[in-house]
Amino acid sequence: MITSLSIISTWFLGFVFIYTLWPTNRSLKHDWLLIFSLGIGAGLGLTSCIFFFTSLIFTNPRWITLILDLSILIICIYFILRRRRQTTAFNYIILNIENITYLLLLSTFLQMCIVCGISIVRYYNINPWGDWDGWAIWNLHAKFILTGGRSWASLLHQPALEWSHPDYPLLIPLSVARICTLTGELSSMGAQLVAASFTLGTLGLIISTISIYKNKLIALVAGLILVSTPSFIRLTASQCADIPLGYFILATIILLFISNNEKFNFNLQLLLSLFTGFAAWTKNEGLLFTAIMCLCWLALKFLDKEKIKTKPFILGLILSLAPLIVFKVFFSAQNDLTSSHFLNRISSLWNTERNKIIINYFGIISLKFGEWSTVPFLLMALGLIGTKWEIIKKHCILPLSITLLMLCGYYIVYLLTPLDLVYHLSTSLNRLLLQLWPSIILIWSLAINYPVKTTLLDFKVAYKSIHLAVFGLSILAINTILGFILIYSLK
Amino acid sequence: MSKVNTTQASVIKFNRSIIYNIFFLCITLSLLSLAIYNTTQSLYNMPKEGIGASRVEELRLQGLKNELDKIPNIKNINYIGDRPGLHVKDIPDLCMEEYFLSQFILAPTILELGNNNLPWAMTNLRNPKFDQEDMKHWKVIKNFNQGIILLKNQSQ
Repeated sequence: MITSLSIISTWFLGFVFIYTLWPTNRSLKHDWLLIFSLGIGAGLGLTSCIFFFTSLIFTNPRWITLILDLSILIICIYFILRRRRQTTAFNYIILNIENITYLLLLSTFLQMCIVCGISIVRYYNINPWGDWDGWAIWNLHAKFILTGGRSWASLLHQPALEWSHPDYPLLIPLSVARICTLTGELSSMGAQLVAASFTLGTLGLIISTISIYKNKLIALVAGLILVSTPSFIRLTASQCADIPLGYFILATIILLFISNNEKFNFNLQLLLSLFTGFAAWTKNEGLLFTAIMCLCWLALKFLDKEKIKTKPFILGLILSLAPLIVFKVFFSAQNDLTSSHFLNRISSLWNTERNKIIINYFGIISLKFGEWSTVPFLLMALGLIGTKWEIIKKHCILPLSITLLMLCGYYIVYLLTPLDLVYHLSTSLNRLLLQLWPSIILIWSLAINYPVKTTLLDFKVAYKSIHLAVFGLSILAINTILGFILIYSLK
Repeated sequence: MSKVNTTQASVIKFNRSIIYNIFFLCITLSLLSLAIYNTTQSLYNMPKEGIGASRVEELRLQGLKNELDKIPNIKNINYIGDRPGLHVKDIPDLCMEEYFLSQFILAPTILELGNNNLPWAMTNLRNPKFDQEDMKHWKVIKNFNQGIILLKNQSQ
């Protein structure tokens, strides 16, 4: 109970923080789910940064952490009360055929979420500390932070623990350790709730963004694709850091997308760089993402000097990267990928054999990606037929460029890896692709051209009604089947 | 004349939009069915009950952990486990995984492999055919069964 309260309060702190910085000209009625979903990342990111410093200074950082968290909350509330925000009246949902279809689809989505939730809870009961990466890296580090006193960082860097990758960033372990410190007991529930929160946050981000910029029905279809990706659910249950990193990549791309579609806003660009830094604070791949984001930011600044300003971006990066820089400079062990002579490995970039192996693995793993019984990529690709270049140019070019640059970055890392290439590819590529999967679903949803606008007004109403009625009835049938599955799985 | 052409163009455009929307409807419904099929599959493929490796090890090492908590200023201990390749029938060769799991359970105590200069040691032996050579420096302090023994260095 106290553990749940602790994660809820962290989420609330993040929500209030995002709400404070959210542009005042945007309507809260449309953006509430997006702000709420960004809240989990902001809450866990901020509190982990604070806890990093307090745990290094104080033997028992419980009270000082609480006081600092509360101070941020009070400051945010003060700013919220000072600022005038647009108020919009709540609209009741009118029961027309479009909304009924939406509600039916929403019901399908919620039932799927329940089914996945049951799977995750069952898995947590069997493996409370997650799978290999969960316990051997993230939760082990959390245990050291929690029980190692002020000297946890030096304990973690003893040669006997080299196998646990002590150089890995600490957002997840610090979040778990902070929750356990606040509750006063070492419990796996903290780790489980942190993992589940990022999954919920990712779903919320996808659905809210597509609802705002596209269509509510497509938003739910995108959510359904994500929630039904088996490896997405399995890695949530495994408590790996790939889902949280995927969340931060998605959140940053969404914030970049919003700030690119709006007039210059200091707070929005500050949030964008904060989330970029949090990605690097989550996993080493986040460092690559941060470098790519800096490149994109420079390119955008070059293209549009009015919209992109230096101050907020640099300020946010400094704030979110400060703990990572302290950790990497003063405490961190060498990374296994950069430990051996880097210059000697540059020649691997032109090694035909290595290039062939990597391309081959990218092909094989992409086809098997997600552990789907039947892959949905062909259907998703068919959905893109009829997409207009204007839509791609307006909505997708920026997120797509970042995602493609990330893939190129992963490719180069594999070329330069000192580890056995086949082993490295087979153990990590699936997870790396999963980090980009939520962003790919977002791009897909933004790209599809649906519904196509009809021009003849006389036919339009009748056509739309028939179309939605067929859609609604089909979903009703699917809902019924799903209901049976749900009842059966609960037994 | 131009009005007729405009109407014809609008009808063609309208027909195209109907075809595309129906096409997209089919794709969406197929995606939904696929999503449900996959979720059902993954639900059945995921383990429903049982006890995972970390929980098993947590229970096995609970007694030793309580004992180590009572010893003041204990930071590093020697770890004696099954050796790779010494496995017998029906016992999987999980010696390294057991070492990592033991480290996870006993943290913040650090387990060192093959350091006979440390004052304390522990064993985690599932294999009855363990190497007696590993044990010659050590005196048994407490046996927790299931291959878990707390040892003290004889030379200290």
